[in-house]
Amino acid sequence: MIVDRMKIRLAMTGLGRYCIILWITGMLLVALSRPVIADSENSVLFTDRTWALSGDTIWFRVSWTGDSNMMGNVLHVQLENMENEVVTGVMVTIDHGRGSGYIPVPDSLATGAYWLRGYSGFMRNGDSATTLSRLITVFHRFDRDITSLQVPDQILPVKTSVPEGLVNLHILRSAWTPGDTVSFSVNLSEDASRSVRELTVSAFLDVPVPLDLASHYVTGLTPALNFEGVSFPPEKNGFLIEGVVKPRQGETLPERSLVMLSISDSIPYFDYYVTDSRGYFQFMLSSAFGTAEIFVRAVAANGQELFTDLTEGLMTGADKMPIQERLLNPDEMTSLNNMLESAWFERIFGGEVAWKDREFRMVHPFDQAFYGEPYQRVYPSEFFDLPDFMEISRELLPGVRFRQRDNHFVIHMLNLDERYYFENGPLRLINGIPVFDNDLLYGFNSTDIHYIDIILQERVFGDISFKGILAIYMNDGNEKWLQGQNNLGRYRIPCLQIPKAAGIYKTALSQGSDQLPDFRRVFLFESVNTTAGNKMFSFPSSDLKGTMVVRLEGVTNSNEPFEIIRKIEMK
Amino acid sequence: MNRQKLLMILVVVFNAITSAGQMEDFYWGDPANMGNPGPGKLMGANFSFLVGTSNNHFYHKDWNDGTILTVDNVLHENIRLRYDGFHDELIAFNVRTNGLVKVDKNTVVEFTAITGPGKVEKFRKLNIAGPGGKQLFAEVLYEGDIILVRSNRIEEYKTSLYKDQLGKLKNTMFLLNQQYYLVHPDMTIQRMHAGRKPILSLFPDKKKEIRRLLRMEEVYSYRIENLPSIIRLLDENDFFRK
Repeated sequence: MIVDRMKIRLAMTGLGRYCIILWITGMLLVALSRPVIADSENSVLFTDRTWALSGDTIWFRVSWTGDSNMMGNVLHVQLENMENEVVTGVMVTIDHGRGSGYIPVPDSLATGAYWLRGYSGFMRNGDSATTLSRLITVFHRFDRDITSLQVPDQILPVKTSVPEGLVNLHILRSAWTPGDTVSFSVNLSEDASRSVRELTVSAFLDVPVPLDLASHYVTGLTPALNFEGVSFPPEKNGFLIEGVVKPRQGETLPERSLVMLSISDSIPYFDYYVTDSRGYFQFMLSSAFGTAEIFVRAVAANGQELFTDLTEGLMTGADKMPIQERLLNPDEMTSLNNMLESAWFERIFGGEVAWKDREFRMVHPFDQAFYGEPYQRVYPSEFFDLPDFMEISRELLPGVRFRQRDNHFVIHMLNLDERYYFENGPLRLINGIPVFDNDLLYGFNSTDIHYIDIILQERVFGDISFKGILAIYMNDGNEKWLQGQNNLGRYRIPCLQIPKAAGIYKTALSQGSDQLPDFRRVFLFESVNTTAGNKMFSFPSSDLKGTMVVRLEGVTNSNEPFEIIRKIEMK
Repeated sequence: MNRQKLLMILVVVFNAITSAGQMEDFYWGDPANMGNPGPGKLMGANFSFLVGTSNNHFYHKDWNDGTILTVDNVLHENIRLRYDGFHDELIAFNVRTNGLVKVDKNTVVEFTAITGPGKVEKFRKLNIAGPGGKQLFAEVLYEGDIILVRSNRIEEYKTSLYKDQLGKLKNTMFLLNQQYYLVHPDMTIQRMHAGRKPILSLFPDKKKEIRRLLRMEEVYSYRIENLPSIIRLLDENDFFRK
């Protein structure tokens, strides 16, 4: 006891006190030096519906208060199951704190509750992150006679009530029949106009969703990959592609490996990342929109080829919610069955279009490939047909030696500046993708190849360099060379979403034809001008009967989400 | 005999292990030192002092710290660089890999070189030769409503035979040729010369005002070195503002 007191006293004397002050100062500095991480207030998602059928498209708007200079201007929005596994996700760009997009719900998705979350990739630089998530109920379109639903239990929504005097949603009539044009007004007072940051209206048919309709839930986020010491740059008009390198079975990861990412585009895209012994890699792909087909290849310093594995989604939900089974009553079951049946008929008559970014657009800042201006570009079709690449190199490619040696082929290129042949082989590209199998090249004849770029100098790209470059571009559709490229990772990845106006439900499928029934379930999803005054909205309803929800959602300047809901019966 | 057999087997096994699926002929630099420079990577060709170049080709006599802004809007910082005024090329030194690179000129917007304490030289790629002409790196001397630049080209001149510092006989020498240009907001380029007349001829209808301004500011020297301060004076007095 006395010894303990002595220790404490000692600690409070000169040196000890100094140490404590130093420690506190240090901790304060550490705390201050940490970046300000986005928190749950930063992104508020508004959706056009609270439930969806598999194969539908959920449209959303987002209000975001993050600092785009520090955190980037890209928001990840993803659908996760209750196990926090990413089902599908998109990335949208934020402009002046606002963004919008759409998530196609996979056609095969099982019936259940799903999380919809939005986050900035930069949030991973912090110790912990939270976001405002929403729950969406998805029904598989071929499910029938659903008697119960698995829903999260013991979860409290974030709710803010807005005094009716400030913001008012007024339906002009109480009784409506299918096919009517529904009208309503939104009235904002001067006070509301000053305090509301974002406002949206939506209208959709209701089903017995056992979830709080418009609620937001604060949920934790955890990085999909967690490597100590790795920092994540802000995603500014671009996004991170992450993954890990894996060795062949029974082998260990090398200390360093080179991961190469390529995209075959009008100008081939190339980037590299040097991993450490943990095999983690990341690429920032800028100004790429739509769906890209990327090729990833990894090699160790000794030339050994490795496998790569990309992660899906940068972050996922951190907490697994307890699930409870909620039984549906007979009325609810009937209502749900009617909706599912109408969806089946809707499909027969054309149905709601599931939007998917199949195209790919990339803005190339450089007007040249990463290997620079070619010394020569050769089009074999301009010459006599040659049966193999050895003949092509011999007859058409100056400075390229393609020779057979010990039952294999080797390539050496001329260093034009220094007038000698490089000892090492060049970087060989097919459609911009690195390949290392010279025997594969031998099989190419004149009709396979569109053109060949040759670079007769040592090219430098960042920290890596190549002893000449031989870039072969195949004729359209020729992909047979990809067979047998076992170590080449080929991925179709979603890039930044190509913006589309959320207007599909403005035009009924039956428009222009009196014969076809109108099965729309979602009717309206619009941003509301936050200036004070009365705003009128109207939309044509469909031929479906049931309860329709007209919903006004918003967020205040102090980041509090709110909603006003009106229900009308379509009889 | 047994030992020889064992050695043979070991060699065969080792070859089989190391060559399976490998690209032993592929070279990608120095794996031990290379890293991930950041979002953008400099592109160029390997530069060698051994071929077709000389120390006399450089405008900067030594390596300087600097930055390079590329057309993808990436600012590459902490780069060691020199400007080759003979070939009008930017040469960078990669401290990680100890490699020299002739940066692809069409990827560069501008670069800066810190040539002394507080002394930063900024070079910008400009089309000085007019439409269809080659783009050159020119040093930005003044930037306001108008830009004053100077091209710092090293040119080779024929001379009578002489012995250089190493005792070699030579008949050429490299001299710095500097020319001044005004870059107007519409990107038209105007060559500038030393003297009072070229200054006055910039604004033929405002000669009186310029004379008065220069007299008030006690500008009496019109040497070419003073051109930046005179252009600054004119710009600050809104002569270039339409």
